[in-house]
Amino acid sequence: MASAGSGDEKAAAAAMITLISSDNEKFEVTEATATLSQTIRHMIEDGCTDGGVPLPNVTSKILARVIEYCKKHATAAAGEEGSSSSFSDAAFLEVDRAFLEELEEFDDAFLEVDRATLFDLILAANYLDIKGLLNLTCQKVADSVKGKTPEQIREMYNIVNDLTPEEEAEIRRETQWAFE
Amino acid sequence: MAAARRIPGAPAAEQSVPPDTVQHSTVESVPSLAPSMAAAQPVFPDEILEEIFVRLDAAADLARASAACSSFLSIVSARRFRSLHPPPVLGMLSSIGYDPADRSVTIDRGLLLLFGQPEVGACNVPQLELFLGRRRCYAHGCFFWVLGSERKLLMLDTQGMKFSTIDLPPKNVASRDDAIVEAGEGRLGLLTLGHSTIDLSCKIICRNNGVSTEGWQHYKTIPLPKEDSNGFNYHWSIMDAEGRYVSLMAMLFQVSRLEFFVLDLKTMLLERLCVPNRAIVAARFYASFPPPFAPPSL
Repeated sequence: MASAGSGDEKAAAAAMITLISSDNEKFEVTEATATLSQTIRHMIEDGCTDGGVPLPNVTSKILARVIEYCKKHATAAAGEEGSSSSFSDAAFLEVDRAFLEELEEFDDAFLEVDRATLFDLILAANYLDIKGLLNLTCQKVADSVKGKTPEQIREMYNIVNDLTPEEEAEIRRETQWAFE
Repeated sequence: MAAARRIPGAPAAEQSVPPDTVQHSTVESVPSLAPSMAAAQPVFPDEILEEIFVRLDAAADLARASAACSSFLSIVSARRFRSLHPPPVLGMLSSIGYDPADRSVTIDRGLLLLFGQPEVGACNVPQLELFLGRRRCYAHGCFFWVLGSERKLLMLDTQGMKFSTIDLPPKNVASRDDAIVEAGEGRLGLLTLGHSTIDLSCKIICRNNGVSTEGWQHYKTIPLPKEDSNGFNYHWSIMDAEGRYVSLMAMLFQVSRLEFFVLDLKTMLLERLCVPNRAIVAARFYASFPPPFAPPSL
């Protein structure tokens, strides 16, 4: 009994990966959590994760959030089933409603961040190639643009209008139906 | 980052951003998008802006976003983006009532009227097509014909140009019509129209060994409105199904009126497309990018 337990711990310890943020903070995560990132998955496959994985594009603040997301979703993927089918596949039909609702609630709460953090998360998700996180964060920005006028979009995102008045008039004329 | 100026409506230059050479902006440069900073161009690389815009389903949202600045305009109008973003449904094509006055393409959301077929080829619109007088559906690169009375699905895989049949679930007393759609994750969706509901069942489609032998799994029941705002009853039928869209016709017998709706199976949103002022018996989708995103074709 005791020996079996220590064996499990050993196996778990062996599968830990150290991620190092741009400000040199170290994060220990399980391989299951880390491999939600395709970038890190490839590094593990290539056997170049000894001594930690430096992530010079991700601050410790953002990396902590990203790990929080990956932990939750790695548990979700493992909990659904151990088979080869991906999580999104499983989510489509296997009706573990309560579980999916909990995950949705987690995602909603996860997105309750200021805009700068949201943008940092998008960049990190893109760099680390975490599909689910990129989808979640980009959808949030896309939703914020829905139903907005160009002026509102510029104001929301501090965008300088570099279109000439003639260009802008032409777009508006050609897509007048979108401005009614 | 700043895109070259170009005349809106002109064909967009191909975005030459190979996926593996995209620069990752450093986190330090991100706050220039934050509200506290002075106005600045977004610093997201084009591929991230594409990721965002590709999640805008409505053509109107895309059009408005493209009018915000030149880099947004160039991304949304680029051919590469058009290949990523499924074209929004603009209207219906109908086979009857040819009226020269309607020949000019009126892009008035829901009212793209191209009555008759003479001009159809000229503007890349799929030809109207009837096969054995039955509705043709297209999903996952295959054409499908629902053989309702036989409870079979005839499938033509366009990769190998091979026909095969798939069993349909037994007919329910309440079911009135079926259609095939794409249901996400490579699944085939079967829509069954009830009195004022649509049921979506799914099946895994596997190219190599044909369709899996396991049965259809019921996924969702989508309620349809029972009556219009004046309390007149809707009588539903399925008009057309393609990709993730299905168009529905609602007849209001009390007032002799037809209304057309489009149901997006990705968002599960039902939207009224148009209320034609004459009878239409068969109509197909016209999904495309509105100007200035559409390539000049007329």
